[in-house]
Amino acid sequence: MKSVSKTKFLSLALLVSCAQLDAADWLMLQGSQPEMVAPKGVSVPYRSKIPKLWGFIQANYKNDRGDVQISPTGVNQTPFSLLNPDLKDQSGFNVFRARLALRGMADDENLVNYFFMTEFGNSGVNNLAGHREVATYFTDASVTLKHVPYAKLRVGMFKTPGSEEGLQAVFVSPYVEFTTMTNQQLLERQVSDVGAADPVPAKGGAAASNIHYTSTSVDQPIAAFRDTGAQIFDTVPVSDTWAVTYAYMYGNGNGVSMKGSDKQKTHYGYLALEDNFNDKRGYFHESMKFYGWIQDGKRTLLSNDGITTTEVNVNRQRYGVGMTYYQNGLRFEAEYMKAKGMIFTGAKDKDTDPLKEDWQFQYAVGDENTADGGYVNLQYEVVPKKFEVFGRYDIMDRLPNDEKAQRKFKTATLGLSYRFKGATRIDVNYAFRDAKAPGNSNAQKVLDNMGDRVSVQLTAAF
Amino acid sequence: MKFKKIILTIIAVMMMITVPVMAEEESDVVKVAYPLDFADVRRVHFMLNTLNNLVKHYQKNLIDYEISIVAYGPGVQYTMKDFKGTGYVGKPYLTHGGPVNNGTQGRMDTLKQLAGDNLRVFVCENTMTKKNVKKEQLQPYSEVTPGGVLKLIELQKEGAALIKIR
Repeated sequence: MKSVSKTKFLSLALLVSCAQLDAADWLMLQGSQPEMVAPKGVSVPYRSKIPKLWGFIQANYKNDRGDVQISPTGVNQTPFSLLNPDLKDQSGFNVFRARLALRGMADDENLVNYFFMTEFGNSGVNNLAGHREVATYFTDASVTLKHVPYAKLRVGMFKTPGSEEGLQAVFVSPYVEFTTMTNQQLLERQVSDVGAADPVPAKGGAAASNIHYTSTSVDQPIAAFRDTGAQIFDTVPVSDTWAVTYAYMYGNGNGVSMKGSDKQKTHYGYLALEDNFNDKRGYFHESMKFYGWIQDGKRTLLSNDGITTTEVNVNRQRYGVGMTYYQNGLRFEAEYMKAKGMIFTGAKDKDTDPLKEDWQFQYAVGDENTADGGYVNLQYEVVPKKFEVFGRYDIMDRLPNDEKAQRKFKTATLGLSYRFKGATRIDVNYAFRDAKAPGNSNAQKVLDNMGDRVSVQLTAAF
Repeated sequence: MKFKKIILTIIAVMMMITVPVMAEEESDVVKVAYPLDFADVRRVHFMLNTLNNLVKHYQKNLIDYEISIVAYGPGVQYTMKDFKGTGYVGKPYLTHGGPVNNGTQGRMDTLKQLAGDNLRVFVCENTMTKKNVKKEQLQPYSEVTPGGVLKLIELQKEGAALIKIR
């Protein structure tokens, strides 16, 4: 009898320690409900059947200090001087995110969890580059099964394993805008209908070098770091404080679009090793983490040259390595990312009316194309969990394999943040932005219009 | 025989005189026992309010007192300093909040400094075993007692007033 009690006790202790290991692990935090909870300080198994309703609102004011250049043909050449998501103006207030979510346990034993989230804000999910028709209003709907030890299964639409910047809960970061590499190469703008190849590929060549396409319609929301598919994942403790997190996902490759086809099938892999310094959960969990990730998928474009439509299949690869550290109010993050195959090369105005824009998206396709970049980020809480100062430096080298098309971006962002409570706060950002076109003087003249950007954002999380 | 009666009478009279005196001597020390068997931090702050008032009153009026806090079940978290590997989680209210924003631990420390040995904090060993709490994880002023409820019964037998905070 004594040995049974001891076994039960050791099991409970192990369960408690395991439950605490998922503290800063976004895959576990987003994909499963905790094994144990302690709302009043006493650890008890999570068995609540009441759905947890939560959400957040992010409203901001931005002012871009660059210039707008309209070509003699009436085309706006400077999308980088205009504000997301609709690329219409250089300053204004915007409710960028307004999300409402439900999550919880769908059985009696906490072995079946669910996660559902909507988006009502004026963001790329509902108004990508001014294309209001893409709106889906929801971003997440998934079910997680936890029956197999150390191999949880999540099925549905949810954030894919990948970059820390994309994987972390978006409302916790004091940065109003993503880094250039993440914004352009990870935050996928998906298109199907494109025009003729530019230049026309050589006969017999599949995806010849330096082939670019421009979309003819934008009818899908931004992918928002998400996809529909199935993911096996978990966190495995390897010592008292160290834990390994792994994930493999097979996805349709359609982002948050309403599509049930896996024609653009994409494989996602993630591995992280984390030393946990304390047992807090989420953004304020103190730990040191090293991680790597890879995404490898197919994309299908339907190219119409005005006469016939041709199916073009291209590869899209993304991978990266990084680390995070947070202790005693000091946060350091660094990540290096690389993109290969299909490379996003910016928005292009197709409307010749100088007062109107029809933004379409441009891509370089072909396996020879690359882009790489990354960031280093330093944050310090001057008053713990109240007042924070921070700075981030990020770069991207886009298409270094193509002299004319190569662009180099550098952004340094400085800011401060005041937290009212938890994630409810005000953030002020100032971004020093610069871009170069080393082998293209005409493009450089356009890029010289790029200016700095000021952002003030209020976040209310509940 | 007569002598025996006289002796018995004297003993009886002595007892009648002595026993009330002994009882009076015992009642000079006010004994109070507080069960700390709840998790609700508002109740803990309320308990600390009443304890502060008691200690100040007794010290001001030079009254001898013995106050015992008996922690068991969810209440044990308020007597701990280290939570690693235990069935408890260190919550912010232990170090923040309350009248002077020093949490329950700060208030307990202040109270203990004020009352000295007149205030004792007992922690239930049964709960500690169940929740995997080691003695070194308790606050230095904590004393381990085999059972929280047993201790309360014992204190009541010794004449302690039981104050249950609701």
